Amino acid sequence: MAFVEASKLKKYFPVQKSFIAQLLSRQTDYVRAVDEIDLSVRRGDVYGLVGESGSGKTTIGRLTVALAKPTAGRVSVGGTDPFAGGRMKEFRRRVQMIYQDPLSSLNPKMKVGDAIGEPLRYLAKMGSHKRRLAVDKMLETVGLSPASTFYDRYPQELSGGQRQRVVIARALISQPEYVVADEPVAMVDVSVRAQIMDLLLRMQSDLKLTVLMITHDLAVAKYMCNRISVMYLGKIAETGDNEQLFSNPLHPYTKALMAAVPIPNPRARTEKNVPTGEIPSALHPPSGCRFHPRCPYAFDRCKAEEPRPLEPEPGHFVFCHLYDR
Amino acid sequence: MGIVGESGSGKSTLGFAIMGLLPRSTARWSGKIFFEGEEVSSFDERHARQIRGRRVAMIFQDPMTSLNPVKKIGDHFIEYIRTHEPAVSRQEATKRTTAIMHDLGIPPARMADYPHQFSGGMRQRVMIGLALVLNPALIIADEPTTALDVIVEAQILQLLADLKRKYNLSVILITHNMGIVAQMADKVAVMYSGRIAEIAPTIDIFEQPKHPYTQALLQSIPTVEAGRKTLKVVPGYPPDLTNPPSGCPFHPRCPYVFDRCSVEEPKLVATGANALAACHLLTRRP
Repeated sequence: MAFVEASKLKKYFPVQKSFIAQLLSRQTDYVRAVDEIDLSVRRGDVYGLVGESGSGKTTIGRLTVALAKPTAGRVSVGGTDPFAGGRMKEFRRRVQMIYQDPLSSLNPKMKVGDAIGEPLRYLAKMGSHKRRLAVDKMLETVGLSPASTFYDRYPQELSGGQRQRVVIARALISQPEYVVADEPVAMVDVSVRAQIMDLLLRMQSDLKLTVLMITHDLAVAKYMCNRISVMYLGKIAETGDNEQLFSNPLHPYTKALMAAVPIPNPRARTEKNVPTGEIPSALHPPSGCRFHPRCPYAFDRCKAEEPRPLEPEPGHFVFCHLYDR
Repeated sequence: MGIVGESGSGKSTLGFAIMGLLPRSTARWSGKIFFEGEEVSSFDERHARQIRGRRVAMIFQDPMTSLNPVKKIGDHFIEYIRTHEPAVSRQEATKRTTAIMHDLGIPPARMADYPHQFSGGMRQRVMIGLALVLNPALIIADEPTTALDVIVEAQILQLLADLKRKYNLSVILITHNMGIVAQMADKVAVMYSGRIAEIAPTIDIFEQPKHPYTQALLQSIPTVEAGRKTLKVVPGYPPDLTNPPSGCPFHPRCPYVFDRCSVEEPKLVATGANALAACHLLTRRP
């Protein structure tokens, strides 16, 4: 069985309406951030969720660590369903999250050493002496060495890359089994990105973590993930192993995404076939296949019927009517 | 012309300087800027205004903060045209706006909409249109697609390239994305810590980078191209500009560092046709 499992997972956010609008109509509109998704992440996977803004990838990440409650469907991590009564505390010890912006996820008035130790204080009820030892060790592990020169510093005294190391240290010190990394390198300088990606990969293999890597950057997913799902407007478009997805992308949306990435090779300049338009609103998503209004291959069935998952090669799933003719 | 660099490398400041937008009271600066043969850096504010907008225009990263939320899109254009060219009538300005809307791929009916009714990509199209409507010779685009998703980014870059060709523009494209310069630029300047590390034709920058920073940067970026290559990590972090390293600013991170690097600042030296780099390795005697 998969380690992280989601079935028919749904998250709708109600749209805030003005008082008068509430009086006039009883009906509430919903943003369908995640709409009936199945996900299965094996133990030890670095699983990539790739998509543009508004595709629902962050919401899925938050649902799998119980930072958001599903509207419908269920999630489980290592067999535990956090919403199935009384198991939340146990669940919290096993999962962690790494955010995109290290500056806003660190308390500016707290020494970074103390910040890293917080999870041990609350989740493991560890005393201050033992905590200090554990934090020093962790600082060295994430490359903030020597630990004594970093423990007493404040977040704003560190560079962006060092801050992201602190955030990673804080997430991993309580020895979680499952970590959601939400765009962990998006705000890190280009020359520092490879350091942070390599640190995450090293920690993942040393601590035998299962990682859900949320990113909009296909190149980052390619470098880090062994299995990847591409998302579009609250739905999964395609799922496959790294090699399958990049050497043989099937969904027209995946193909469009790949074609749109500017390749750092001036000899590979191509006239691009970029789809027109932008992602429609998740308030009223298109009928049938959600990509159909922008898809160059759309035919009548795409508008009428939602595509089922198809498996044209083993382990490679695509939600597209083109492969069902 | 592409200018690449990380945050804090000075690439935006360079763009602002060329636009004459650095605050005169608080910024201390020296050196000269020439535009169409004239030294524009010595112009007073009134004189500078005749160039800014009309001959040189700028496109910024975040279109929402550059557009007035309570003003219709069309009125942005009309006001902008008539501020710079008071002789132009409102009708004439509307006519020119309609024409530019066509170039941008925006239906002219949407001129009556407000900025919040536009998507991110459409707003950035509007910014490009505003920059173009006075027929400038040079456009400075400062991270024009950083706030956009990758497919919309590709659309905007395509539009920029098409309009550049159509109006015979010069473009300075400021970005941190090596992929974008590879796709768009003829020539690239690589900036580090407020200085130009290397400047050369795009092909040379990517195929024979001379500066160790350029080399390191290219080996450390992941790509979607075939083959899952291992990345070479650049050690260390970009410098703190309030307290930059002595000598060459890259020396604390450079794999080839030698004694001279921490003492003496390297000057740009010719490394080929139209190519310059600032590194002591290039002038080191064997």
